[in-house]
Amino acid sequence: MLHIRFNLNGKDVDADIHEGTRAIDLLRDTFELTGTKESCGQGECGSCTILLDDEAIHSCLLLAAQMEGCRVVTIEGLEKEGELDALQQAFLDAGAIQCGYCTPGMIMAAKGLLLHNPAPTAEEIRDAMAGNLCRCTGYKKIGEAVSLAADRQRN
Amino acid sequence: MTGEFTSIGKRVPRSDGRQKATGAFRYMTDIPREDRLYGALVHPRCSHALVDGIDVSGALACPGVVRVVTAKDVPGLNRHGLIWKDQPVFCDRVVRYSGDTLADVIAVTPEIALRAAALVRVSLSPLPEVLTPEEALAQGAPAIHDGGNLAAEYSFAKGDVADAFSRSDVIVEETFLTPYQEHAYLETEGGAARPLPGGGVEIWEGCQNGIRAARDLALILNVPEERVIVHSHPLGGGFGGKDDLTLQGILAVCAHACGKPVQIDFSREESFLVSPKRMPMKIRMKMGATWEGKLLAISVHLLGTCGAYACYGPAIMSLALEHACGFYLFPHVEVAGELGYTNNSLVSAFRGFGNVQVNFAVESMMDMVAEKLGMDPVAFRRMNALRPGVRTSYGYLTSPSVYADGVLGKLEETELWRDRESFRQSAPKPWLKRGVGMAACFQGVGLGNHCFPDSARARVDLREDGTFLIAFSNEDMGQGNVTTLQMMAAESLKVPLSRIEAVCGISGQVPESGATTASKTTYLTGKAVLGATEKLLAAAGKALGCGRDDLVLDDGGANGRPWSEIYALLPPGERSWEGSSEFQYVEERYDFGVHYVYAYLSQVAGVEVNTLTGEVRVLKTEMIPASGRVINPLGFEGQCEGGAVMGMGYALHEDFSVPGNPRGITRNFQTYLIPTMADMPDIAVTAMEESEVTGPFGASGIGESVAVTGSAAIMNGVFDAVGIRIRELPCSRETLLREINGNNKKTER
Repeated sequence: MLHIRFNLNGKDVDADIHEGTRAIDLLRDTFELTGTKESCGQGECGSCTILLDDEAIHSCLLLAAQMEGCRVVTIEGLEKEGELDALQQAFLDAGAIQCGYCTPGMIMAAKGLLLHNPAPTAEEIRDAMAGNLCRCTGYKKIGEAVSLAADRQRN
Repeated sequence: MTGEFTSIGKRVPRSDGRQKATGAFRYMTDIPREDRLYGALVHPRCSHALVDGIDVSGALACPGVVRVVTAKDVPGLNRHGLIWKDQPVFCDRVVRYSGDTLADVIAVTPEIALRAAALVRVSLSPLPEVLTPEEALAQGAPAIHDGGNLAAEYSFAKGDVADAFSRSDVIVEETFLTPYQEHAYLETEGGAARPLPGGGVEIWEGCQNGIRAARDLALILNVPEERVIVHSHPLGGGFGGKDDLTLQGILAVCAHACGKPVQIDFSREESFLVSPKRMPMKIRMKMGATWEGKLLAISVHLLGTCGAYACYGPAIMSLALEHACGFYLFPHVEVAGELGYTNNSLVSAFRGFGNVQVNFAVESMMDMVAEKLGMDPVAFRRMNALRPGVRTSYGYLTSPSVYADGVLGKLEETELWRDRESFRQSAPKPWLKRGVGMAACFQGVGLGNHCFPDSARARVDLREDGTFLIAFSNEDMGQGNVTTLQMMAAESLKVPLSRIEAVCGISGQVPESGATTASKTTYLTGKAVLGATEKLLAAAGKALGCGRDDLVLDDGGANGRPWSEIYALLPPGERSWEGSSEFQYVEERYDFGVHYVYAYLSQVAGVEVNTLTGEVRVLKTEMIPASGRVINPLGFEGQCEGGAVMGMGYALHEDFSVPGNPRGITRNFQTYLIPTMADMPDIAVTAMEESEVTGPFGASGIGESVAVTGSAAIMNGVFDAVGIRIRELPCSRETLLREINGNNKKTER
């Protein structure tokens, strides 16, 4: 057993974990943050994307122990006092959500992109988001939502 | 026209969107894990064998293992199935495919269950495997089921086909092959069940027909139907693959056997192994036409892979034959299809079922015949397309809302089609070749008149605060039917959308509106919702002392009275009303089913072939759907764009290999490649909003037609680019490169 401390969605938390516990399981089962989804378990689909010290990362490939001392943000951490993050609002407005199972991972991947590149081109959005699978939307409205959020954040 | 509407035609963000964007939305696989046991399934390591025995002692000896459940624990009928109940919940005598379930190890944690499942010893006597329908239907083939390997055969003939071919100036005869396609919904199968005090279970698992699932589960548990409560909504994607039971039977039996809640979640590997897929098909097709471009005859033979159990297989074969002539008119017709049981993956509903396969063949053939005739492919299609009031090739009359020629005419006006010559010339490198292809389809709305009754019921409740609740069973798997039905109710009552709450997908608590499948919820359940609101309006008129026709609806009420006041005026029994609807069917009966209402669509694709690598990229595509009036353009476009990309995946990348396939077995997204954002073409959608005269507000259905035309449009584009005709999907780089190099050698000689 290991004892870890980290910052989760703005709050300092700690947990007792097994060495092999995956980050996604700690987040979903212990902290009940089920917005982070598992779809492939192998880092192929991006549904489990979270931010670890402002970097978008697959939480299914991350050991919980690796979160020690880090700032972790999940989809649940984006809404501030009832106000949606620009990306969340843009996904809604642009019609970028269908079944919604990929949505949290998509938004977190986009968040990681916009933190480093607040004005991405369509090409840069494609490159950054190509690791996140969606079976419903055909991606067009997802790309548009990310552009829309970036525009709104700048203006 | 949209000016007269208050809700319909507006770009409305989906009503569950905010919750989905914040992560607050709970899928069935997100239920908090307290006080429950976990199951891990044991699957066979072969695909055809006799079960001699299952030794569970090793697994039971593991600390933390509670029980191992097998066929012996099924209290009722150990079978389920959409058409025939031939699929065991737990395998008893015979293993028929490697996704069968032999046992479920139940333990206090998922990890213990998984480790112990590896300790279950199964004794199997291997039987010869049958992996293709050709083997299955050959004389003396090992029988997979007691009745033999023929799962279904249907046919139809009209006129004198042999004579018509002898009179044809041009004949094209080809064979096409299509692969298994995996639905690849992002939420894998999973959920939980708990035993109910006094018998029966309550179960949480996403499913496209929760009420039918409850009926099947009651038979499996041998309890009355009301002892099974199924929560089937929401789903993280379905596309047809969650129509039949997936894990529900196993969950129900395990919860019943253990007397405690049990949860099972499929990994992606297990989902791929167990779940049904799109039916692979071998399509032989022959068409004859005159020099003037008139089609004279068609002959079609379909050979389908059914997999180990019937599932939806016969219905898919029926739909394939129904759509096997496309929407074109052939005076002389012979079509036939055979479906063989095999020891591999099951086949079930999958967006455009049956039509997707045959459309690849029909629309490739239409281009090939046009080329032989030296005719423009669209002009040739328009000359032979179905028209309102004209009988189809099989001789029946459809709804007068026929837009075959309409979608072809609109396609001719698209920029990509009009300027295709400049698109061809726009390739930036000499080894990149560009071309433009097109295809068109019709798609029956609903299940047709083949094997299931197809009707829907819905309810509307007026509540004390003047808001409304609409209730129906159709689950939302992402397609947005909940928002669409809310919009229809809001429109008919002329109230803001925010006043309409919806509930769906809980058996026993909502009226039955049938399977959420076959492009039919907007049309059929929409009509049922309107039936219910009309009854409520009639009652309101009576309560206000006027007739329905004299009722003046405004933003919050009627005749100047808010709905909360009308609630008080209405007798308690008249605040809740149920509506129902049924499909209209054609008079003629055939071996296979046909429809009365069809949606129409055409698609043009601009492709680029890399002649050095064999890679095909779709750069641009434009879709013209004619599905009646568009209720919510935002959701409608989403269906079209998603369908276009799914169709592209089927055409170019997606190849599900099953046991016996030399390329091995597909286990996860490393080997099953669905399109990513990097593959996305530039997509344009221009809806032809002509009314479906029988539909609610003039709407029909959009869910499936959008995934039908992609493969033929893209392959016709590949031919336009490099002159190579692809007859087998997906069009792999290897195949295309071999063809390109073969052609180059021929030219060199």
